Amino acid sequence: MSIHILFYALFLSQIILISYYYPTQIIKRIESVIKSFPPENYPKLYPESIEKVIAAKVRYQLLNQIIIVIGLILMGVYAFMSKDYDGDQKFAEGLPLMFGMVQFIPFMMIEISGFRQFKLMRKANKSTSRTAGLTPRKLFDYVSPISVITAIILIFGYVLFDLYIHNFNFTGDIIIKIITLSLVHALFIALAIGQLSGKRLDPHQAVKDRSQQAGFSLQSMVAVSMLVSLFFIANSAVDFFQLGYLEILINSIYFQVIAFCGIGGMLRTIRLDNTNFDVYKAEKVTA
Amino acid sequence: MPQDRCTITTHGTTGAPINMEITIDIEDPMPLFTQLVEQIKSAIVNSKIKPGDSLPSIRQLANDLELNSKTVAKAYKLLERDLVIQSKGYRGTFVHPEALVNSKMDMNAEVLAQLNQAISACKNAGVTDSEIRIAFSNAMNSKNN
Repeated sequence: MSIHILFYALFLSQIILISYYYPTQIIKRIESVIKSFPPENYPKLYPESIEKVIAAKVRYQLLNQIIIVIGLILMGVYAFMSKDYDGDQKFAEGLPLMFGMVQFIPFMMIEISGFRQFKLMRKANKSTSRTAGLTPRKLFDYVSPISVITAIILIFGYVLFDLYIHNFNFTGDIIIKIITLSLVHALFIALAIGQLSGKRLDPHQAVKDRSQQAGFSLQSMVAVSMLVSLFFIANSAVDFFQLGYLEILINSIYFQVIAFCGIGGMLRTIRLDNTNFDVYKAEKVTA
Repeated sequence: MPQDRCTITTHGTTGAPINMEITIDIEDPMPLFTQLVEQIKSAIVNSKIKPGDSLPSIRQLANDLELNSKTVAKAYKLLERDLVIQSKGYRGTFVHPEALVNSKMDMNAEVLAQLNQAISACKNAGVTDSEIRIAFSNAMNSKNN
């Protein structure tokens, strides 16, 4: 019973954190940008009309509200279905993971919309002058070598741990987890190369802001890498020690920590008062 | 002129090194690689970057300036030839220890002075203009050069 109560608390926290708290912070940020940097003075910031930006914001808000309702319904369904199960039985352990993936859809939509905005910005950019920094962007300027080494050790640590508890037999489950881990890290490496030496998406972005963004992205990728490995270790451990009933709690905690490091980290690191918006001002026309 | 466009900014409160910025104009009649060479030399002369400082990779600079990698590679090659920068393999590219002196040296003026001296010597010896032109062309096309 106590596991169920703990799950209600964690699942409610997952709903509030990912579908209410962070979306509210993002909406506040969008509103603050529109208010402080209006299209009249900062036309380069709005490759599309302000109405489209507001419509996208409303869609984002609505989608999150729908997800909150779905989350509360799922909690009700869980309460109804779980009464036949004891606290030490494995039940609906995939629920926080599946719901967590749904919760991240609005954030992905915002990311995709951001890429579209940058594409339009690049298309509309008629400036013939281009600026770049003469400071190299190197991985260890942004992330400590200890963090990277820890992330690598955790990857191999997980593989060894899972193989150890399965008597060094490559089971289907281990192979799937190793493939998943490899794909996630291949994506991270590609993204890291893009941040360090890739083309800049925002043609107007100040050199300092580009560097700050690269720093945040690299730090969060290293953090997520460690979390994924730890999550896999915890997942295998609960199976091995026959504590499967804890899996539902671990899954919910995992998604909340990912959101805290990813979305929360972005909100904490990339601050509006520290961003150079002057680059989006209209260019002065000289007679 | 591109040299006048050098600005200097810092990384705010992060404590990261001072970040020197360069700006190129794709419609400037001066070739893009020359703009790059001049701006990097100017940054060295104005002590905005110092001997031993590391420079961005060709790929990073080309992508940041939305230029072809070959243009940046050409600029770096010229700077390396003039001993303004030095490549240290996988460790990257650095400002040469003698960069300050070498950045002040005008290679075009140096070449012009040497050629003037050679042409004067030829003319004093009675060589005609067309003979000098043919000889210069042969020398440039010679496998030894």
